[in-house]
Amino acid sequence: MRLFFNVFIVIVIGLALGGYSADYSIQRSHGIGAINIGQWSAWPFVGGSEVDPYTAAKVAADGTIPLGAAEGLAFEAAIDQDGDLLSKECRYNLTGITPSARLWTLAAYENDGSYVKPGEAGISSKYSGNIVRFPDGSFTISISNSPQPGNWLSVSGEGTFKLILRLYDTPVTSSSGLIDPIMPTIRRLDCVS
Amino acid sequence: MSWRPVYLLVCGLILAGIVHIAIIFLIPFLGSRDAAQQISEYSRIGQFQLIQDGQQVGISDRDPFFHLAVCRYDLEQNALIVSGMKSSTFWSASVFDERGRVVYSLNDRTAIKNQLQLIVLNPIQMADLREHQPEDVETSIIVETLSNRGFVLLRVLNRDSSWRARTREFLSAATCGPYETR
Repeated sequence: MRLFFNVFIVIVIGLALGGYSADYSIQRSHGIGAINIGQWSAWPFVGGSEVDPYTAAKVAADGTIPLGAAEGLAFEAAIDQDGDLLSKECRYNLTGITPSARLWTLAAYENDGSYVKPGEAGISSKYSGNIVRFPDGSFTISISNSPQPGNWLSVSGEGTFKLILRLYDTPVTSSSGLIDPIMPTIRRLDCVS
Repeated sequence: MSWRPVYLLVCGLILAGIVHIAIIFLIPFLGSRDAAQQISEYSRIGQFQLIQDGQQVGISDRDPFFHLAVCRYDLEQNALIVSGMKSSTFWSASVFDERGRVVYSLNDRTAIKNQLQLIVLNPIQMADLREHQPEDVETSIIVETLSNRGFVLLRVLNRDSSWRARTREFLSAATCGPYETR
């Protein structure tokens, strides 16, 4: 009886800790194999043949198709500057500059990987070629339910979402890259409720 | 006697480590959401197929500004040649192996003369190619891969709806066929 109890304890600890730690290490942001810049995480080795097992597991579990190293690099953000989860009921300002790239796109996604439904007359994605910039090349994108002046990325509904900023044809992915890349910051302004 | 809980905990931790490693390595084989697997089931050999929004291929986190086309390859019989027309819009392509790992990737600037021309072959075909040195070698990017099966994914920027026709034209003009190395 005692033996059974001991084996039971060992199996419970093993499955619980093993399962939890595996899940934790491939979670969406700040997982193993990721580089983190502010609120953003990227998996630079996802686009090469020497992808690590954690990144490979994450790609398979998320159901994504990675960008090759020569194609670009995707940065994900699920939290704002203060570390709170991004919520569709709040208004955010995404401000700053991106690392150098031929072009970039920004899109809002549900946690299951589908697009966030934009509000009326808005779209939930932005392309670097058609945004308004400040004279120094930096920009601000307002992420909000209601229309905003300037660059507006529209989200609607409730619950959390994530942002993915994809840099295409960027030196960040080359071996000489990763020279202090600067990413825009995500600042929460206010929330509806 | 008082060592028994510690002993159990250590055994539990060792098992946890084994479970952790097993899960991480098994997810790519057992995962049901695996997009690479869905793509290779959907795609055909010898022809590029468009991947539309909301089709049976479930890809998470798709970039809304890009249109995709996919072509599966099997190097058992012949090597693969992929070619496309010149385009003023940004495009990129990746060669994936069976398990969805990127073997090689390129974009319009890294391609020779900004034109998509790619030969994918296995080491045996590579040896053949070296021996015969056909003219195509000079204008193509040669990709050698150890896995005989996989797919090529082509992405084209569709910056707004006015570019849609040109994007589609580029994707439908892309070809993907067998290449004789002998």
